[in-house]
Amino acid sequence: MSDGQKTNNQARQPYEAPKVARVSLRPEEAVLGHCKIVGQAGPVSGTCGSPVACSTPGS
Amino acid sequence: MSGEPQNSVVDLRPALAASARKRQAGPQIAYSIGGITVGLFGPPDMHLKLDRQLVPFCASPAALDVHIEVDWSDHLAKPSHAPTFHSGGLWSLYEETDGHRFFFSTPFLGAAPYKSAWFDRDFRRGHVTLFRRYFDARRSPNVLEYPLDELLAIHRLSRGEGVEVHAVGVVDESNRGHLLLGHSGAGKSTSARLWQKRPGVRVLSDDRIILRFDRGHARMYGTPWHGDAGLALADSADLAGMYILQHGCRNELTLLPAGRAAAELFARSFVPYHCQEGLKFTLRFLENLTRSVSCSLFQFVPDQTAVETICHA
Repeated sequence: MSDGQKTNNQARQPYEAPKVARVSLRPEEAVLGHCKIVGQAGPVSGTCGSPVACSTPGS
Repeated sequence: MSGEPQNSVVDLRPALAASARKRQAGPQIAYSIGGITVGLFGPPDMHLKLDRQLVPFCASPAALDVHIEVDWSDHLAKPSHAPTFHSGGLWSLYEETDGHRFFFSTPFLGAAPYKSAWFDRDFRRGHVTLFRRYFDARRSPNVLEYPLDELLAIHRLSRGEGVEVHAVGVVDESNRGHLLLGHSGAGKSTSARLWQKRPGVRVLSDDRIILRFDRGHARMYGTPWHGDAGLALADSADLAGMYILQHGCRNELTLLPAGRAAAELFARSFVPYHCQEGLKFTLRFLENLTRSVSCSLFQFVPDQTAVETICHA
């Protein structure tokens, strides 16, 4: 099959220019750096009080 | 950072290896999340117990994917050199010649770390060291307390196994798995509660889901790491559709091109950002995933019609 035949047999897709899409990251969530309780700095802070008793809910 | 001085770190591995030979009948616990089974082995004076969230994920310690030894220490200090990665919060990562070492600290307890965790490069073996003075000897230590449990999961998954995402996973009455992804505040727990009202629906988690391929099929797994709705199931299902949650004035689904979908998924994934190999795998995984399962932007209103919209999609 020649190149010309190929072109005729294939439905041409309309050209669509590439687009840049901005996707927002949430690094403070993504790196698992903090306790999941909002406003707490860690599993042993504030009301938690002990590193052996944390079972925080997620965000 | 191999070969750098680590003179402020007490290398406990030789001592741990010796104690491991002696401990024989030491306590053992095991759990399985996302098809990966983790076993913990402690010394005789440490009573290991699964955290209550992990109890439904309890597994036989016979066939382990990750083997972790646990011990106490009366001294724990971070290396003097800069970490490979600092989370900006509870943990820092230091590269060592034979693996990775995490240190966990909080301003609440001061500068000294309350725990360290070493893992080999493949996250198949590890040692967790607990700084004794910060733990109540009368209680069972929660060795893999957040964030170590999830750090272990995301690092192991990034070694060719899968990816953990910020999402709610629901399985409908026809056993079809729907993944609803979103950052905090996007409506995951709200969606989970709405789905729960539908008869025959199972919610695998309202905050964290693990995705893997099983015999060529994308599959989602529940985790113990739940959100505000407190929903977590040790269960899994084939994945039928993925939806990026967005609050809206009406329910509307917009199919995303695969490339855009992969980017949106990546932004809602938990990946080891410091690890080139892990990032490469995750991007390949998400590319394959978005080619095999459709992904839509889902603008929704927080009522039962949102559930119907997905069920009839």
